[in-house]
Amino acid sequence: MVTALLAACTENVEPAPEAIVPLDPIDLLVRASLDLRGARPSVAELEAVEADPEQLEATIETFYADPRFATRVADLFAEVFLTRTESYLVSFAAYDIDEFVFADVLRSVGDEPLRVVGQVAANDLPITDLVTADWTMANEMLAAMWPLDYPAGETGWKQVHYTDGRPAAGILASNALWWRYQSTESNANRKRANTASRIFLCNDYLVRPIEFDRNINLLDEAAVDDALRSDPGCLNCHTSLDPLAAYFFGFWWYENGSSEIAQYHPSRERNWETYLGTPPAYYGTPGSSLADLGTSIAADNRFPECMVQHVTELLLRRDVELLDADRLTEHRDALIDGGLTLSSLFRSVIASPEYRAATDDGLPGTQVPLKMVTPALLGSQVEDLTGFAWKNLEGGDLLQTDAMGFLTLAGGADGVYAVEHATAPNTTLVLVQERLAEAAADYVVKADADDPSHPRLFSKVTFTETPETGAAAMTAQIQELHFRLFGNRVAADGPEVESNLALWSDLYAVDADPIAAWAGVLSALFRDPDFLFY
Amino acid sequence: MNRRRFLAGSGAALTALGVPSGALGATQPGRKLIVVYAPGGWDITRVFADAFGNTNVDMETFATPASAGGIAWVSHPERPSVDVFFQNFHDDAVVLNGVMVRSIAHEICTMISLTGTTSGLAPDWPAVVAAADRTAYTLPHLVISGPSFPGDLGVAVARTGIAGQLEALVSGEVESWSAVPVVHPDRVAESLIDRHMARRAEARAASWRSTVEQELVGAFDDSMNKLTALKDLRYTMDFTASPFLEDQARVAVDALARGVSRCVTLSYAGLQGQGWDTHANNDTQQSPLWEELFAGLLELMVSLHSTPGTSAPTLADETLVVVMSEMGRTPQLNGLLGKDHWPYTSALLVGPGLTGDRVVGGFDDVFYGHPVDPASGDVAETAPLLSAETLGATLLSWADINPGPYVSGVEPLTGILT
Repeated sequence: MVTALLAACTENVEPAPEAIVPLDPIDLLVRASLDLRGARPSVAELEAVEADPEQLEATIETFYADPRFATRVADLFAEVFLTRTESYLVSFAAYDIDEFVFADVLRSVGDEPLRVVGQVAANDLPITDLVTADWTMANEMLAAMWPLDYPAGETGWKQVHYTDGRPAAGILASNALWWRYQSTESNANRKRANTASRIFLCNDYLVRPIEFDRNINLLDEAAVDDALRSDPGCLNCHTSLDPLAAYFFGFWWYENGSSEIAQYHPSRERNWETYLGTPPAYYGTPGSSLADLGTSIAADNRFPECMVQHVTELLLRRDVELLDADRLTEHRDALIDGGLTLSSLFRSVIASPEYRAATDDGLPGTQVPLKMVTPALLGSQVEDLTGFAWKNLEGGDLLQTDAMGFLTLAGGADGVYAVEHATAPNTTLVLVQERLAEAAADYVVKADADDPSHPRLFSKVTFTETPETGAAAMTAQIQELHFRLFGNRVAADGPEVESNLALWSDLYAVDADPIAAWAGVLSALFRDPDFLFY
Repeated sequence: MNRRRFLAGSGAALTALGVPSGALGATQPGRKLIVVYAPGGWDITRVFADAFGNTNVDMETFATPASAGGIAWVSHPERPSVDVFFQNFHDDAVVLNGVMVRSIAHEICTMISLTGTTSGLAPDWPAVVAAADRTAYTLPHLVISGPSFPGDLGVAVARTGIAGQLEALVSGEVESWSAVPVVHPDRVAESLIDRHMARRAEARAASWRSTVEQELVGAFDDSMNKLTALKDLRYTMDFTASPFLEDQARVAVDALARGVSRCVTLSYAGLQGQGWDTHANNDTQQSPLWEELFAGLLELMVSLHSTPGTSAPTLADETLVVVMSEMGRTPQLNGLLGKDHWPYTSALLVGPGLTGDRVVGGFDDVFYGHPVDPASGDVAETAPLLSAETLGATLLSWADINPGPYVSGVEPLTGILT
């Protein structure tokens, strides 16, 4: 894609000449903090940048060292891998996982490749590790199902190794990717080949137009095989796709319902002879092992360009276009100059004028990257502010599951039907936002009232004031909440304070409960449009 | 409800309603759409595809050809609901036979059948129809179950959730879902906060610095207004539905009748949610699925005929029901007495705006679809094949939406539209 854009750009496209209007430093700090850490800036960070805008870049730089950076990278790449789904065609009864919350098991499976990307990003490893590493990421749930050298008795995500002799091919050798993208005898791993091509080369065979030749008898297997090798309409894809598919037969399974799908099977690597009839090769270069495929992808110029495309699209939340070509080249150069580390690519995109634009001025279209939070981002910023995690009675994250929660109602991608997060709100999303806001506000107000020595959000009031007895403290509290939540300094006599105090009074009039009134005011702030858009 | 009892009851209801005989009116404003999906790939030789004379097709023991008016179907003693359905609704029904989905992979075929593309990024047909008039509806496209591709039209698409999620959110029952005990505001306080939020959303919508910001804050304001309407429904409407198609139909009809939604998606995957993917024991699994599907469709049609429409005497006068699956199944049984995936399938359309009482298309000797002239709906060797895109273009045209931006290069079947 990037190559195509570069070629087209040199022919007939003029760069946008106007100057781009940048966000003010505080808004940019908020945008970068949410993108890189999944949380809003702390009061100290806000005050530092407010006092000296020159501190902005240094403050953003600290976000890359934040332990939450890896999680955010994983969350972002979930839209690329589409492994966070609840639709695995796997019999989990084959595994001894009764001690775990099933939703967490499903989430862990989907997270395996994403955590690898996060690990590569957080540790400044080269992106080539994504397709060549001899390690993966796993937690205790995956360790209970898969052949891994995960340390006994420990918990949490760790960098580990498979112990079944599978080739070193990074995510290409991960169980999760191929549990998500399974194959059949007639498909013969072509789906997997296309998945690898789509994710790592940004080359999706499925978007190519095809004509279905009615002269091929689908009831005749020999005729179908012959067509795949001779029909021009078929050859368009199968010439290069089938040799890629041949690499994946170590993941060939005979019984999807058994535990054999947890294992890589070196003895089946040559099953392409039976099911495909085409030996492994990477665009004409023969290979034999999945490790060869990983090495080939790592050496392909399209691979870093594809990562540039992914990161740019994920951070700007729009498709790259012809007019982005110059900037994509800059990002690619930054990635290469930065030792192929994802953080260098993130830095380049976040430093770009397009990422920092505040208005349409100077942009080649209506491309201001004002974004709506994803369900994960909505949950993580609320949890960071309040300590409240919205979990169901079994412990599953209500914002991350569709089976028992509100993932797609909150605009989230389910990995199967909704393959991208929603980019604008609808009625169910604001309803989910409301219920989360109410729960989190109730939780944190009561917590701060119970333990005023360690307040999370309420340091200015004691929950005994009324407008008659403590108007100044209440005003200060509202000002502090606006600063903490939105980075805004609102005036004591401004409309925001007036409106929030009016709401407080209305709520207090219902049952004379100051805690409930503050919870109501805070829930309204969590429901604010500026809590959704950043 | 016992299926036999339901059939007896629905028969009486149909008689009382005066159905059939062209009960559906001509083109009406405010047309609505219900999509009923059969996930997994149905065996169309069990109902839609009469292939008794084709030696390449394994038809079913005890199956016989049947017809009513211009509709021919496959009848079987185990599937009385199919017979009752066509006997009563053939006048308003069009069966499309030989619809090509150009793949045999479930995920891809599901995308193609509903969007005409393989990327998953395009909105599906009901989302497009709903979005065309989204400001008029609280939940323009309501997805009760089954596949839904919102694409970039997510603002128009709302799911009820398979575990009663929307109902819990609307009613406030979600309070009891939280592992950490929390108290949500009571109705009075909630109303006060909602009023505050409505004012805030309106004010925010008036302040923007970019086109994207204008769209976002505008969508938020619109959503807040619709939220009030949605909450008002908690006293009168229940969004909870079981996997039974009859139960989903109840919610669908309620949503259409109240003007909450323009489009609704339902699905029927069997009483155990097993789906239609019968690679083994095809006949013993498909037969009850077809019977249960049509029993549900019967109840849906009875409800549509007995419920006042929003711009026509009954919902049936303004609602098109489309029944589809992502693919068909091979014409011959395999070694496990199952059937594998097949890229030609069928679709059933019932409702206003169609030249009903006809079967369009068909199958050749190897069970490929016949080409069909879009202008007439007749089989014509030089015409294009019926395809998922053809179906989509036809549905969009039916809703007075130009299909060009969604399915370029494909002509709608104007021959079946009035």
